[in-house]
Amino acid sequence: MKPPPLLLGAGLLFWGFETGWLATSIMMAALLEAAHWTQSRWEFSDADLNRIWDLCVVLIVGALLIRYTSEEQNAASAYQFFQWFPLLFFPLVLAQLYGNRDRIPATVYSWILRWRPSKPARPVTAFHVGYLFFGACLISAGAANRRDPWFFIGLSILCGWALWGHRSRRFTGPVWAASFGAAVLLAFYGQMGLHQLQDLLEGRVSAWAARWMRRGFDANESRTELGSIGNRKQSGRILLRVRSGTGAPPELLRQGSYDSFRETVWLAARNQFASVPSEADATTWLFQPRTRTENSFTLFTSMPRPEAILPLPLGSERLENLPAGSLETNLLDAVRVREAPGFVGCGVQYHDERSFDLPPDRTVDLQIPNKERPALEQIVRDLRLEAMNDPEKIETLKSYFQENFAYRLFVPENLHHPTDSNTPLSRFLLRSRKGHCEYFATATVLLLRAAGVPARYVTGYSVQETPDHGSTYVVRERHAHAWTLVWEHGRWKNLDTTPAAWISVENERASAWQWLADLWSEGRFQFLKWRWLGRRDWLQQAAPWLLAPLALLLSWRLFVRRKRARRDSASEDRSVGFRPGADSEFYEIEKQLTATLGERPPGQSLMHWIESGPARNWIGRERPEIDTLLLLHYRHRFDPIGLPDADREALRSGANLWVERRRNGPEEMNRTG
Amino acid sequence: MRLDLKRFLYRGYYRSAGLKHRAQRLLTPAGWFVLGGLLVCGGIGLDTNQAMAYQAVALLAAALAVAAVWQFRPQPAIGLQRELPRYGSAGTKLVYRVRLNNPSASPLRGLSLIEDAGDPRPTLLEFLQAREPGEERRNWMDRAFGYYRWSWLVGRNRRAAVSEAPLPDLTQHSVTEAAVEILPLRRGPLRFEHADLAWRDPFGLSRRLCPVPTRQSVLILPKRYFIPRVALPGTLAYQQGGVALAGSVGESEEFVSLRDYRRGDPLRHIHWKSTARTGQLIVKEFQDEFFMRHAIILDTFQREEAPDVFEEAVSVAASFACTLESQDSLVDLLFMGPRAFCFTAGRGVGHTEQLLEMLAAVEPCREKPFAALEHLVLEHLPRVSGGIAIFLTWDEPRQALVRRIKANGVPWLVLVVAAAGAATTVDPGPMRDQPERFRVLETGRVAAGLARL
Repeated sequence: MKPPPLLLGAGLLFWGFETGWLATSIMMAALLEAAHWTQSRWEFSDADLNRIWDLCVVLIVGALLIRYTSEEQNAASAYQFFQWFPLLFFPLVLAQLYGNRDRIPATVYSWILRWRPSKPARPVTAFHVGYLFFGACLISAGAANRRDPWFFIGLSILCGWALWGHRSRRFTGPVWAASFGAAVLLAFYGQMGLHQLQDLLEGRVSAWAARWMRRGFDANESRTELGSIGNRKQSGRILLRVRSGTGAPPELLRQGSYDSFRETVWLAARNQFASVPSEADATTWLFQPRTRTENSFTLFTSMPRPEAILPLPLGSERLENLPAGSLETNLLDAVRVREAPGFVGCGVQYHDERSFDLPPDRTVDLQIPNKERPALEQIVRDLRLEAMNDPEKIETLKSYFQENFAYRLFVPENLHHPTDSNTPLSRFLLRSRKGHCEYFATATVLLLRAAGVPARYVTGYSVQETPDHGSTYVVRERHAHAWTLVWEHGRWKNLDTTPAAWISVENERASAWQWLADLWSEGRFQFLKWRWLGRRDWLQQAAPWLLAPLALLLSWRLFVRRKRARRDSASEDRSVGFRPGADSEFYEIEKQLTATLGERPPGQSLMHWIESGPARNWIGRERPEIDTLLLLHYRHRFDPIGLPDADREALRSGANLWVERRRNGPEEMNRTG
Repeated sequence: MRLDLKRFLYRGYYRSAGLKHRAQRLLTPAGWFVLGGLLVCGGIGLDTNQAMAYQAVALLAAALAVAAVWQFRPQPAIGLQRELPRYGSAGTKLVYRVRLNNPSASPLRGLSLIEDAGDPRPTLLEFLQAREPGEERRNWMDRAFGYYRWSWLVGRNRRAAVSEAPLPDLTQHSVTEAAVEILPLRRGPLRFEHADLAWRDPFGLSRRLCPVPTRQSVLILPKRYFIPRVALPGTLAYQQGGVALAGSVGESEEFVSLRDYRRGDPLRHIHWKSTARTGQLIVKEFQDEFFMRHAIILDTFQREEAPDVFEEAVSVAASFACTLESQDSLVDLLFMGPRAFCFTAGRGVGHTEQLLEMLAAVEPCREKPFAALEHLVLEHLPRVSGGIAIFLTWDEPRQALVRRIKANGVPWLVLVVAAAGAATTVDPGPMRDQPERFRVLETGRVAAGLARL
């Protein structure tokens, strides 16, 4: 199948229009379409096509590397990679259109097929790459994600054009047009349906689908694993690095606070975000006026998406070196960063005893779900919390959990189906007394609220592991944690009632290969730091030393190649020097002939040339002499035995004499003749 | 348990091959391209907020859906009759004509024909018993799942490669003729059960298939190689009791033609008038009645793991059968099937076609031992003046047979068909003293091997 003229060009222009690379696409389209008006074709062998495909593969790998190192595992960046398809496959389609091969064999694309011993009986599949390239243009145009109706219109026109070339002769033009119109109409409503379906899936249909398709951390809700069966599997992947500055680094980094509990989900009822003002350099952000007693640390983290929630300690006052488009906080103090670079290393200044969280709203921060109320009230009664003041209540609850509860990841009691009076939380509080941090945090929040103390549920990370016992801490995925914010003495405080053993339990689950993953992570961290922060760290210092062997290798290769080339050319020269018959004097005669008659046509032997019309006329009556000399020349040139001395002398003297006579002019020739 | 697994796998392969066959007929190459594009766009457009590829998914799916709707359009019944030749040859395109009768009142355009050359799927017994060449070298998983064995069997059972043949417009109430081309892949009878008449949808993405039952068959002769005009071993021999085979003894006076003098021609045969006219010696050629009787021994005792070798041996035998007949000799074809076969062709007794028909139907012999062939050959040996023995292997029993043939004093050409790359490992054995009469032909390079004879 070969695309009709102008279709590929139109596909490229459409791609250029959608991606904003119109100028490039016009040039590419002109180059492709010119092939239809150009007669000459390149003759590409299989080996040439292999090299062209290898070039495409190198371009693809290069593009992937650029994407990977620039913005990491960003979904948007993956789509940006798809936008480059026409550029990446352009050499191949050029070879197809300007080459003399109608179809490119499949062996070109697969190294395995290339290496496999050929089976003569099996024909190799071959195809024209035109339509594949056309498809790549459309996919790339779609990846640009311009949310306007032009994409659908352009797509319909181009697909119609392509399908028109394959229409069945059985149907008339109007029937075809009506069928295609029906398909476009169906597609129009279908694409709207698809979009709505995703919204539906993402929204409410099922928890797992929402979790699977969820993009990043959600500051609006936190789905807990309360009531789930089985282990919570968290990997040892390093997510954050904390380098302590003034004072010890914070123990807990908060990502989100939630105030409303429904079923097993914590929600942020007050989730409106407001911008945080920045200083003139647009990299420093101020949450609240600075105090004199402050702690600071540097937080390094990848920003896989342009929009992310930053994990920060309670009481954060100021962020430095964060080149983001904007910074926002909500009323529950989640900090959202927009248009962040792929990797940040920002300085954080915070004050333990100050928080910019709003004071509690008693209608929300004391709210308890009715289902949980019986179990909570029973505990409050048992512990006689109502008779205590707030600090006593907090202390009592803390020691209650430490003394009576245990940390466990697997909760077998969840095998029972919950009923109204038998929720996962009530089973945890009254029966099992074993659970993970979400149980402890949720139970603490709700018990505090039941005892009349405003509290919130917080998720984030626990900072605890310092691999080199130095100032840098690593935060892994399994260090994700949930705890409580409690209102005490007129300010919000962190309260973590999960038994301290949770850290060792989690660490025991570390993989035996974690050191290898850490090594890779460290290398990537250093690279990203160098790439994004441009610091003169060890990588930059070591780069010349890393490049030196490469440069040496390259120079050695160049030297060897040049030496070999010199040797080859020398041997060629030698062989030319020893070519038998090269010293023949007949070449002088040939020079004379060339000077008069022009160059001997390529591929014509001396004998044929001399026999040809112009030469024959010019030589005239000297023909027998020339024939004798030519015969001697041929013998001298090609006879492996060579010429006897006498004949060699005859050739030399005869040729010299003839040349001499010619130089003296035609008069002498005529006289001699 | 193991057998149950094999049965289960067989059923899976059987059904999936059926589905694949049906899908390949239902979708045109453009349809496959659209389906592939649909899947790729589906992957990329999974998140409708990140890319617009979901709109391409909708459009391609809608095009396929509209194409599918057109499949329900009723089609007129069309009569079809093939005009098949008597024979075809494996590996050579077979062109024949079909007569299509359009009884409807409207002309039909854009029709195509897809022949059904039989179901290549092996039976369960075949699947369980067959061994793919080199199967023992596959890893345990491939051996356990037997997928490679299945695909090898399907390839082996495919009788012909068929492709969609576009048909001319069929005018109303008339019979139209069209040429159809298929490529027979195997020797033996090629049976057509039905042909599929295909209509494409407006976009050319799918085909509506209307099977027309027409049972016909054509005999596919073995693949034949070009053999140079070889001087086969043998001498003129009197054919005992051969009144039917030889009308008289010696050279008849029946003048056949004039030709250039060759060294050794009797002087009395010189045609002086022509010699005087041309200035070169010209001799008269007479019909000779002493003639050669050659035997072709075909070894049918196939080793299970080398079916290609057997097929090549049959092709070699067919190539010689054609060539020898034209050289005015009798040709006896000796081979073992369910019983001993000896068929003679040449000089009006039998025709090459009959020899080739025999060879088209020859099957590997599994019921009898090699000694049966040996017995047949030795019994026949006194009557022949030379021959060609085509062996599938070069083991001791075959070498012993050659020794006994040689002891008889009759010259023979011995050809051993071997797997590719095995030529260098074969020791000529009893043929060491006559290297010019011993050749090893490697599969895949048989034509080159025969050209060097």
